[in-house]
Parts: sequence; structure tokens; C-alpha cells
Amino acid sequence: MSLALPLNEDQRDCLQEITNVAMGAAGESLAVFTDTFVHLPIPCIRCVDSVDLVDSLKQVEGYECLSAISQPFKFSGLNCYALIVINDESITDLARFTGRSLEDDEGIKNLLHDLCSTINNSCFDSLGEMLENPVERTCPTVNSLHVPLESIQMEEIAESHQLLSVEINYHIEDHPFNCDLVLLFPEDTLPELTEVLNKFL
Amino acid sequence: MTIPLLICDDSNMARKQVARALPEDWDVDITYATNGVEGLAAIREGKGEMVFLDLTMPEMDGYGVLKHVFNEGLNAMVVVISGDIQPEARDRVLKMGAIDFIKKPVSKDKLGEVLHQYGLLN
Repeated sequence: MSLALPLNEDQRDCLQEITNVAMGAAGESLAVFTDTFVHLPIPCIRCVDSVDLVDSLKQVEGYECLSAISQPFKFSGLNCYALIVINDESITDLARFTGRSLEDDEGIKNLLHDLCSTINNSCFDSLGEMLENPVERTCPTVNSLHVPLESIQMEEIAESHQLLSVEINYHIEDHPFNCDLVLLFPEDTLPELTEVLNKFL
Repeated sequence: MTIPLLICDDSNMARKQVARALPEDWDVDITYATNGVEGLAAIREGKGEMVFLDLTMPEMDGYGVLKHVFNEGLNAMVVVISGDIQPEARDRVLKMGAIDFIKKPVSKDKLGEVLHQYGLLN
């Protein structure tokens, strides 16, 4: 299902290191938001066909009910997306960690928006700092609520044929809570992304 | 006297960033390791009296390396350089014997400051 990466080893390594630092900053914000210690794995980089994108989210496989929130962002003129996927049990955990009551889907959407701004803002700020070029962000959208993995709506993200995906699964130590942050770079951004990475090498 | 220095990080770019941030006149013999297992082996061989250690790595992470260094009483002064900037991560590695923690991306100034602080430069 994964396609050949359109990056050489140095560029892949560079993207992994940059996203590792940005996702580390996001992990710290998640730790503060939830008042817990967040475990940070190594980001997983893949190139996927957009029709297989949802299936490629291996870390959230096996959960019956998932919700997703996506946020377009732009750096160095590249239109990219950040996607957060979380299972229902973890939403309940998140509400408990943050002292929220979840009375209806509106409450869940608000919590997802807060989770999204917590994670994404730190991630984007860190990316912008490293790239010495601020990341522009637009409003996030809740794509799906309580659906199985295969039913998550990708909307405009899926308009690109292929995407470079950088996935990290945040989980909390000694606790089942976990959520996925996926940075998605559509194929038309790849030449410019490669240029950006080459500047680091 | 030349100091055996180990730079242990799974990212080639991160290893280069650390090497570039070292003070120019620091007399060191550098060994590179790409994961905790390789890093620990180098320390056991005496190639890491001074170590710059990443935390998130395959095979064995930085915490695993620190645990072995402590349990085996290995001669290594470890500075952790990581993108995991949670205060808890810093507290943990300091409790496990690391002398300091530097957040990524590492800068020449910060690295020099830490080395000065511990009297590791002449």
C-alpha cells in the first residue's frame, strides 16, 4: 500500500528530524493540556495513494469509533494538512483529564477543537521557527465523529492523488489514551518540500 | 588530553548538527552511533567518556542507555539532546544520571554554555 518515497535518504532523515522536533513541541503542549507524561515515538513517514490514506493510519486501526479533525496549513507556499484522529475512549479520557463534561456532540467538537489547537499550534510554531518561515494556518474542521476508520471523511485532502504522510501516535504513559497526528503533504508540494529540506542538508 | 566523545542519535542530520555545534578548539575524538545499542557498545569500549545522547531512537532509546550506564557504573558524562521538551523528560534523565538536557535543535551557544558550566572546556 505504501508507495516508494519521493525523497532520498538524507531528505527523509531531515524530514523525520524536523517533524520529530515539531511533534515533540506538540507533545509537550498535549502533556500540559492533559497534565500527564506523553510518550513520543519516532514519526513514521510514508507515501500513500489518497484512496489508501485512511487505511494507512495503522496506529488507530482496531478502534470501532473514531473522530477526526483536520486543519490546512501553509509554509513556504505549500498547502498542507494536519489531521488528528482519536478514538471515542480517548475522547472520554481527554474530557476527564481536562475536567470537561461531554453532554453532546457539540461538546465533543469543542474538545476536539481545543485538542487540535493545543497540538497543532505548537507543532506549527516549532516548524516555522526551524524553517525560519512562519506557518500560516486556517480554521480546523471536524471531518467525522464516531465512525469506523474506513468511514473517516478526507474531503479536500483526498483531491491529491498521492500524499507524503508523517504520522505520530501520542500516547500517555501507563494509560490507554492515544491519538494520532498526521502531517500530510500533497504530491504537488513535494518539489518545493524537497527544496526546503535540501536547505537543511 | 583528547576526550573520547560519542554522538548518539538515529538521525544523520541531528548527528551533524551536534558535530557542527562543538567548539572548534575542543580536543575530542568523535564516534557516532545511530541507536542506543550501538551507543552503549561504544561507551563500553571507552569511546564515550563524554556523550551527547538523543532520547527517541530505535533498538534502545536514550533512557535505556542511561539505565545501563548507571547500572554498569560506566565512565560516561551524558548530556541529553532531545526534541522531547516535557519538563518531566528532563527531570527523568537528570535523575538517571545525565548531567544536563539541551532541547533540539541544538545551538552552538547552548552547547558551549553547558560545556563551560561543567568545566569541560579548557
